[in-house]
Amino acid sequence: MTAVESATAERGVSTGSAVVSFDHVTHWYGNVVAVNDITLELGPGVTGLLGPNGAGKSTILHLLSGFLSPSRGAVTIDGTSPWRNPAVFEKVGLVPERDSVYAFLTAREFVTASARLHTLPDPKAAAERALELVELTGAADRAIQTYSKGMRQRAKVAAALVHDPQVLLLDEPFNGMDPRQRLHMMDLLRGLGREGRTILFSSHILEEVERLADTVQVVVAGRLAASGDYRTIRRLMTNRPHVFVLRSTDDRALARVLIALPAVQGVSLGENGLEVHASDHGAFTRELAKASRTAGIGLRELIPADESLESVFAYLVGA
Amino acid sequence: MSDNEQAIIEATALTMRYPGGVTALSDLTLSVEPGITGLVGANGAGKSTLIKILLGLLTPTQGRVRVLGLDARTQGERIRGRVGYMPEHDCLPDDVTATEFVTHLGRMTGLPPTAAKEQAAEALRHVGLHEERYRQIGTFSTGMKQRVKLAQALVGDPGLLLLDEPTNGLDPAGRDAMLALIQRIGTEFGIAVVVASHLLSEIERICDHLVAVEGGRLLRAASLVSMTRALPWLAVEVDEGTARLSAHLASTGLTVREQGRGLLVRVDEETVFDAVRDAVADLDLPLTRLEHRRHHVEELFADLEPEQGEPMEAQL
Amino acid sequence: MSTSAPTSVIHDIGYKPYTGPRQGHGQIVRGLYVHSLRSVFGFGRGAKAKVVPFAVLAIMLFPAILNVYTASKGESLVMPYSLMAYRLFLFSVVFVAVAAPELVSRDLRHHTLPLYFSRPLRRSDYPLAKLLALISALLIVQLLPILVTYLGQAASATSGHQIWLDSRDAFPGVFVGVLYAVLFSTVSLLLASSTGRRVIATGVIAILFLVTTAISSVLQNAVGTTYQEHVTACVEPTVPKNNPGPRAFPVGEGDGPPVALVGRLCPGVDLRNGADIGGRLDPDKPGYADLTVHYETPVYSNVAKVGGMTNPVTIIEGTRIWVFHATDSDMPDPSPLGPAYAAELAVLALAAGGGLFLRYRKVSVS
Repeated sequence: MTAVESATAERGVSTGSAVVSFDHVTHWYGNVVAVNDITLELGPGVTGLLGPNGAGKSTILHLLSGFLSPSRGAVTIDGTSPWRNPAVFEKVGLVPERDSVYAFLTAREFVTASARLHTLPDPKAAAERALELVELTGAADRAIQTYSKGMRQRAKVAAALVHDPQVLLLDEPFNGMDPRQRLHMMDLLRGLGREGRTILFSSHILEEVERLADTVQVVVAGRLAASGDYRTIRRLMTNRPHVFVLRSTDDRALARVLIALPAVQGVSLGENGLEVHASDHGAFTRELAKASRTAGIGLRELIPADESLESVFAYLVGA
Repeated sequence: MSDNEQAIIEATALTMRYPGGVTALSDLTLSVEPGITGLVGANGAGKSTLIKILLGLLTPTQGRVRVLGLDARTQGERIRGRVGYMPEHDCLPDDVTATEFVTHLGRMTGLPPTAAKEQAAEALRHVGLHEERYRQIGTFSTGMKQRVKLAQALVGDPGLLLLDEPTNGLDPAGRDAMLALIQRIGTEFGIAVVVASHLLSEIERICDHLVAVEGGRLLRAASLVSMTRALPWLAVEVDEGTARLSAHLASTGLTVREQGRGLLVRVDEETVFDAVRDAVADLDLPLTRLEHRRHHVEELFADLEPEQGEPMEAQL
Repeated sequence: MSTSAPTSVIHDIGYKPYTGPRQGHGQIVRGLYVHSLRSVFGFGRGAKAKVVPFAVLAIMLFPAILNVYTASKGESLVMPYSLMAYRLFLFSVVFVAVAAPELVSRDLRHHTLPLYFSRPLRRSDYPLAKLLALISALLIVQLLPILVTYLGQAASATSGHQIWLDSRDAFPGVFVGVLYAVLFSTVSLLLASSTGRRVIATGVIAILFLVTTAISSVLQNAVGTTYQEHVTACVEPTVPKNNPGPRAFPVGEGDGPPVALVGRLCPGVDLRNGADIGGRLDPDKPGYADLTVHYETPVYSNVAKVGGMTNPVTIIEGTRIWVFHATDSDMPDPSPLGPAYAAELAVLALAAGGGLFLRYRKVSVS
């Protein structure tokens, strides 16, 4: 087991799961409407907040962490607003995007300082636990300016975790990390999500969100475009035919067979195989195996080409 | 003809120790072939050190390196005339038009004035900037700015392009366009490309080869094909009835494992495909995925090396 | 008759490698030099960028045009060659305060330097090209007025000997112009290369020159200058009332002597610092007056002589005074410190230039 998993196993699942909710929240800065009538709910586990640059992701995180009060609507964590409410504030940890770290401090000093700011009864122990969780204990006594990007992020996460918050908010946490650091951070966040914490992280790199998030919230120009599991979201887009890539023992013959199906809207032959546009996802997926068996064609590959988060996102942003 | 003459970059035992005590590169030996090569894992000090050494701007503490057949220690200036470099950070002025800027940099590469104008025009055309090129760069979107950066790397007809995080800051559509452009350059233009990126999906998408560096040392250098070899497992997903399918397949003697949303079926012979197809047809199940599992580049960086044959949990 | 129908074709406009000549780094430096020189005068950057450089040039040319006019009338120059730069130094400051940041601060601000240094351009080529460009620009600004004046004089010269004399007068002007170009360029570029913010760079350069000007002015004038009184008696012819020019004193029905003649006829008198001319008509010689002239001459203490070493403008002026044994300066004669001024000038220029080159030795590429 990795250190993350063993650490979380020891502590067990926290009692009570925070419900984060936005109720018709709108927020503007002067003339700019950053968040426009957003209603959503988050529960335990890892949720990815996804959207193009400037879509309002950072604003949502700031509203949740109590730095902003919504111009309209209500933001609640466990039923209470976090705005200027220290009790609720204590339930939330924020890992901001920019390097808001005093680089000359060591990680231990920084995290301990954060613990003290939260007026924890035993700041040193809390800091130690947090550092263990992010696996920084080895380097904890070096100045943060000597850290790599990944370690700095982990230091920030430790400082945000030191008061054991139910809700952890991360703004673009993987920026600039190399693959190994990213995998570590993903393991860490996954572990925290399994503990029952509510984790919301924003990103515009789909690869990361696809890998880590259980559910996604897609924000486009201040509006919530979609929520949930991205594959299910894709199925909900019934007005767009689903695209599949097929390879078989006889592509041309299979093309002939498939175009005869009412569920199939279009077929095109390419060097990578067949591309099939299916207007009826359910019917097509049921008929495919039967039809190819009847025609004596062997299937070698079937891949849903536009069920990736990238395609779903492109459709949502494009729409 | 030996392989050495083919290699675009040839580094032997490259070590760089800075006066402060930091060792950025340690006994790094690598060879970059023509084609599109991904450079992964080097971050911060290591990457910028390597780039400076390749451009002949920094003398390594130890080791030798040849770029395009030229010795970086003694012929750095000639190398810089034949290598196009696209930095990661913002480096474009606001108040100059794209045409003027790329033309000026073409001159700085050593092109005579008229040639610089022509090459700049062509480079801007190849990267897809049309009438925008007469506007000031300050008015450009991120995607357009990245294209200008690429155009200035391309303007001197380099033998090697060094692209540092070329999709930085781009949205998915912009990323697609940039990756397609890079692929075109690497395949059609006859220019060797090295792409430094931390996004492994990009690397898998466009690169022929991969060089992975970690801690200043070479972690792995291999072709993408060899790193994404097929595993003897077939991923099968159905929208419903997974358990029934699993039981049915097992009953026919196939090795079946559950993973995530679907099943993994051990495939050692061609007949397995038909068996799966028939099982799905018999049970009248909606088949949504049939995919031969492959290794992924990411495995290099996972602490736990997957056992041979077992794909990682996160893959499905 | 058979003419084949024109065939349709799709032309290949794919990527073509460049097989033409490539220039060496010498040519590249020259290219950067030309590009920089053009950008100093605002070429390639829109109309607004041309305002300051050309306004300065116009202002510097103004006295030259006046000179041409007076030369054509056979009168002496409005502003002599050797004093042009000194009297108009403020405009040279404005020029470099705007030009130097344009040359180097922009590249710093936009982090463009890696794009230069990843090319066959040596580390020292960049500051060299920029420095030569600014020096060239300043040379134009300093020497164009001299050239215009010289041509004006030559055009209205009465003899070859006259032209020779004019050339001799012009040479110190050229000398000073070169000194201004070199010293102002090195110092301002070094200062501008410390920041990417053009406004700040302009401010720093302007402040440096103006503050040092104030310091040297105080040291030379207020602190370093005292006045010594002199009294001279002399005799001067009077002139009828209707003749032009101011008179020293009115004399009843007659006329006092013209002041203009006092300076010429009374030996050793220096009217520049104010004078008190008193007198009466000579009773023995009709048409003449006895004058008593009280005048002051400045005495420069050591403070004044050293004070001039605090300011680039006065350093150059002091060097000029020493080299050409000049007496027409508005500034106190620094002798015997003349060689010190010249040495300081050389040291400053070399240090600033050296600092500039050192600044660009350690630039990162990524």
